[in-house]
Amino acid sequence: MQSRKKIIILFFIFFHLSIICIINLKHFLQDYNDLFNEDDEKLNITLILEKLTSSNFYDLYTTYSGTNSSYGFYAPNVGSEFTHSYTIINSELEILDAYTSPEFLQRESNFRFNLCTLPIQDMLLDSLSISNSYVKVMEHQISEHLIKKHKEAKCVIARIYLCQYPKTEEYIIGKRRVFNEVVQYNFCDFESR
Amino acid sequence: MILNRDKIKNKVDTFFFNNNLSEGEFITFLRITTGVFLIIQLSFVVFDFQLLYGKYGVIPYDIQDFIAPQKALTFSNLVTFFEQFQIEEYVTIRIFLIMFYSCSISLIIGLFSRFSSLILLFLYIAISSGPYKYGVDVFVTMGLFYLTVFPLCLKYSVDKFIFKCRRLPNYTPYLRLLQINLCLVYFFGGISKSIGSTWYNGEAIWKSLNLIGTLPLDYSILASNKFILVFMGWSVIILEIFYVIAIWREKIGLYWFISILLMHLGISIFLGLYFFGIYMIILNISGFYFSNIKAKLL
Repeated sequence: MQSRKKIIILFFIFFHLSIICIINLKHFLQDYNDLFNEDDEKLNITLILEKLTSSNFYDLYTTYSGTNSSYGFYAPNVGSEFTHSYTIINSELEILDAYTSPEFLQRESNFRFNLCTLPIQDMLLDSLSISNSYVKVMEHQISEHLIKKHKEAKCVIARIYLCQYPKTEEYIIGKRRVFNEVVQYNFCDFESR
Repeated sequence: MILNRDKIKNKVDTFFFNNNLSEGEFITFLRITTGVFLIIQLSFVVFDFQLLYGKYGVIPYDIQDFIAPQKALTFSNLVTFFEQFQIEEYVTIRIFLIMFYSCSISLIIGLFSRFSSLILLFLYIAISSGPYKYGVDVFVTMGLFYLTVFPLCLKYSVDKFIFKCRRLPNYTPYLRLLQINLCLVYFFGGISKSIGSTWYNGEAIWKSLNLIGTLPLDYSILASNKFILVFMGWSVIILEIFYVIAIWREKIGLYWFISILLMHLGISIFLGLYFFGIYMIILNISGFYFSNIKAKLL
């Protein structure tokens, strides 16, 4: 292989792996900062990495090369899981129907749908975060989708639950996971009504 | 220690450009398995496609696009584009699905492989960048990107009859890229877990087994013998962090490779993350089986 071609290939390999290291280091330091830094101030290196990762070229390259996410799955700890329920009620406050998710035909679709609850954790940790507005709008849109099936329905009560897993000692005596309500939305304003 | 520039140069040259390391079988394996994987994965959501990804599905396009990367061409962008030409969403969905399945089949049989993987990369990102993204999407995107940039391997492909290779390319640098990428995956995965206390006391494993979607078995044995959970937590961290060293070793490389495959098999079965576990197995086999492990087994 020609030297020039070798240099180009090596440059690409080094560049690509550097991108991977940068994004992973950034997320690792963010997690470390969140866990151990009581001052809530970002480390200088985190700020430098954020600056490096804010360019359009970086965004484009990482999106299409699969390097825009860190590899810290279930890290530093396993994240909490959330689920939702939607109760359809009429003007007399009678329950017409209840759903835990839209009526998907396939199991994997349900699994994919439940992933939309991931921003809820950010919302609970920081009530002022944009995730708050995002989750509310998302729940409203899902409720609007569900209410379309019921002509006489007036409102939807959308609830989000935190999946509380039992401790090992509790599991032995028969306790299983429970769902604790963390937020409730009452939606009565729909474009289709 | 005096750094000998020529020595370093030789080592780098040998590591990345040793011609005898690979005949490109790893690319063929990755190509065929990725094609099959994509067909199966899409088929598991195809009947709910419009509900999930449609512009006016359960979560409308403006909400979906809010969470997608700015530079990603999303499915709703495609629908909006075709709506300008009076093409309705259901037609766009059908075209999308036909293209996706066709390109996956092309990838399997090795027909215009690079072009097929490029198209699939765009199509896959279109549906996986929104609110339904999880780990498997990161790695499938990575796999498709590599299939696009890696040179063609004409073994078991229709491309063999279309493209005449004057000289076989050197596949080694691309194999090294995949291998180092995998090492970084596990290294950063392990390091990130290592700062979380729950991985040391078994709670992370216990919580994982109690998530929604996991295999509904009776885990009383684990609950009564917490040391098993602690052992599993430590094993995951050690397996991941030291993968970068152990996988290259003559003696323990094979056992590390098998352990990682078993870990992913366990993730598939017990945590219900079938697609994630299977694709990670595919990547590991592509990266290390043909070049490092196969010779040890034979």
